Amino acid sequence: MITVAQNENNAAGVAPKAWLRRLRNNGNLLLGAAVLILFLIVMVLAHLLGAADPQAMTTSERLHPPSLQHWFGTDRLGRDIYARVAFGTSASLAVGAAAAALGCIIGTIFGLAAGYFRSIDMLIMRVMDGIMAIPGIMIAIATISVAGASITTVVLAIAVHDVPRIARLVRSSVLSMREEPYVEAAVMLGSPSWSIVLRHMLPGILASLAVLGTYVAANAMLLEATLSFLGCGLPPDIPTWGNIMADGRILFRIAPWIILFPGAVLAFAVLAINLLGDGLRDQFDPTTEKTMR
Amino acid sequence: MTEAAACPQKPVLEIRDLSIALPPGSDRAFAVEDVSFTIHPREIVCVVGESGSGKSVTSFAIMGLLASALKPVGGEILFSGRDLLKVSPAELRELRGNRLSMIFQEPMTALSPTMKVGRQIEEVLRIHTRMSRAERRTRTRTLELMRLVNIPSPDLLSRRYPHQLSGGQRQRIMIAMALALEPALLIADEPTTALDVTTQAQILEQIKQIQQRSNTAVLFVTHDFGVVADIADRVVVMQHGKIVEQGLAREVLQSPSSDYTRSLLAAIPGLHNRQSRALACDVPEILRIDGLSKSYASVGHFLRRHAPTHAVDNVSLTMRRGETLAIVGESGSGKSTVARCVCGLIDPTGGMIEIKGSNRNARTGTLDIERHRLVQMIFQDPNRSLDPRWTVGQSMIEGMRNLGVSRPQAIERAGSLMEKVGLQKSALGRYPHEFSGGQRQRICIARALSMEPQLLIADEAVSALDVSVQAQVLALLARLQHEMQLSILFITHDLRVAVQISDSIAVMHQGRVVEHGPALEIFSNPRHDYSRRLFNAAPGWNWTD
Repeated sequence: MITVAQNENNAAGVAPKAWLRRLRNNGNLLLGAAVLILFLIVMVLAHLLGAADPQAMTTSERLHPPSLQHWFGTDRLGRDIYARVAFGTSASLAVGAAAAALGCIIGTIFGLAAGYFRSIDMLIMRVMDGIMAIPGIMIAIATISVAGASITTVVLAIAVHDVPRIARLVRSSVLSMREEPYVEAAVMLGSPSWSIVLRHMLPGILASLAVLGTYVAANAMLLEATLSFLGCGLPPDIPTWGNIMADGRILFRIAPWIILFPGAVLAFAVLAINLLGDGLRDQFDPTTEKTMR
Repeated sequence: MTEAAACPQKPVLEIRDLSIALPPGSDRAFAVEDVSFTIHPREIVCVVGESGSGKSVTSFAIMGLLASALKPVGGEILFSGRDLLKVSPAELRELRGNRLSMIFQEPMTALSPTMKVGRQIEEVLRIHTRMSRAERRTRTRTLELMRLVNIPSPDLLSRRYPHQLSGGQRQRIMIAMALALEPALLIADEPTTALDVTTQAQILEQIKQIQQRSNTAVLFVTHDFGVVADIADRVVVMQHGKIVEQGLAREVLQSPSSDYTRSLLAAIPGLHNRQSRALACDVPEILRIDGLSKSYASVGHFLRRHAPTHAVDNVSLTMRRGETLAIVGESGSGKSTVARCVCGLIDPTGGMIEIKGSNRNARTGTLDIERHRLVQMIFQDPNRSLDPRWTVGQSMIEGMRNLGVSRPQAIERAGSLMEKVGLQKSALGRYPHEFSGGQRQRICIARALSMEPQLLIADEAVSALDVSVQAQVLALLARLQHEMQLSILFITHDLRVAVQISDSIAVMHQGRVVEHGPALEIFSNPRHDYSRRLFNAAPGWNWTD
């Protein structure tokens, strides 16, 4: 997402030098990106970083507190929490990213359509308002109980929740861009609507979409964890941070580490993504950064 | 004009060798360099220059309002003996408002939108003077100030919010606030640029009167030599941050000593018509507008519908092939709406627009490719009329590709068009932000020509440009018109531009055409009352160069 946005802004007329200088001073962006890259490394190299088999149960070592052998302790079946958290990274991040991407794509299509073709604006936006009126967690639970729990349904259920917010952002950008002389010039040059929307307007929205996309991804990860915690997310045999926490819920007073470590990791991941989002915002629009300080 | 310049009084303001550095990496080292001039009591000094000349930076430096990136590095600004660059922020705050005050270009953004204008004037008085409770209740001074700047029924208007006033009234409120404490020096930074000509004329007259009545010295920053001719006692001409010339207004305007001033003055469209080409009567018509109307439904709710606003009301005009028709009028007169209806960017609510015989009922028509071949438009703001994310080449071939021209052919034609408008072929590979405003406007013209139109519509196409650039673009348009037999519909608020380029003129007022005819005839002998008022209000109308 970062690279797309970067190219986009360079083309929009920021000297690469100034862009780089701003990047170097952009602590939020660098820190967020660094933490996320760390998570990605753990996700790919989990088995090389001392993580055992996340499913291996060692009945003799049940509910062991954190130790040198089991960094994050073990759960009630003697499974290594560190291994489960490390392997759970891929599921949690993947669900978050996939749901955000799907939500962004669908939301952008609806937003572009509503903003440019005024006749269907009313219809689309009232449906979006309807979706926004229902709490996201309820939509997700309902979808999953109807369609069954799998990665696909969880991603879909979370994405539905994000579509209206994206659609509203895109629609409002399109509405203001319609008035831009360069869009009117394209109309005068006989360009068809699809070309104006996709070639003139969409590139102008990508920057703000990338920023909102990161927040949506953070939110999606939280929602996934919540669903798993409530027992209606991914199947319990796939380790995710939410599943591990759900597992440790009843044992919280005896073995708090089961919930503590995945919870902390989740908080870190969400914080990193939010920092990345703030950083991206400052990077695209240096004026907000100035007024914040 | 007063003869204050000659009087030996001590100057109110004396700027000595002022230099202000620009942040490293800018296109030049200093925003202003070695600037020195003085202003005496009861004197209006105009600082003139094109954009980027440092004239606004100078005025901001006096007020201590410089952006933090700009650092004064040398010289002094002496205001009644004190160096404004060295006084403490508290002292400066005390001076501002009390002894020094400023009027800005855009009164809407300079006034607080959430406060009634009367309260805003009172606030100035309350902060800087001791007012008794009775004074505060009766608001005598506030109303007196509003009367001073000629605001009708001050009692009523003082209870309005800024957005409920007209642009001219807002600027008057700003002036009232600036004059509230009878400052020794009033700085006006392009105070009339955002206003219509008739309003501008009134505001200038106002500033002049008040200044003479109250002994205020005025520093007037402007880009418009017409304004200078109307009000200045002395002129300071700036270019690239340096003063190129200063002296008595009359002398500078009549016999400028520097080449730059001479070229600036020469670039101003004179108030004489180019030899109006006598168009033979048998030249076919290219455009016929008949009874064109456009109204907008006002925002109301379902119980209370407001009457619709008529932006354009029953306008009929004709244009012959090869003719330049200028539509002049103030903002809100509907001149742009007419242009946009002709282009097909908006659909009229009534009437007919016929272009070169291709009959098209304006009410039901849609944009079709044939129409794009006939009509093209050049927009006002060259910074926004090219897609910032596209190379110039991409923008140039967009229209030709839509017409079915092959890519290599389109690129080749784009290259030759670039040369035709005075740019190089290599420009095609660059992005719009790498070009200046004038160059961008040339690119827009080339892009419009790529469709080989018969009729070119220029909607305020030179209004955003500096005079010297403006002159070049106008010359380009005239040359292209001659070469390509173009008809040009020119929408402008600038009468000087209109006089210079047009064969015929239509004056619009409140959605109607009040006068339409050959340019020479209308300018020498305007028959309609409004046209006469409009022409008289143009800055420097009576000043001949």
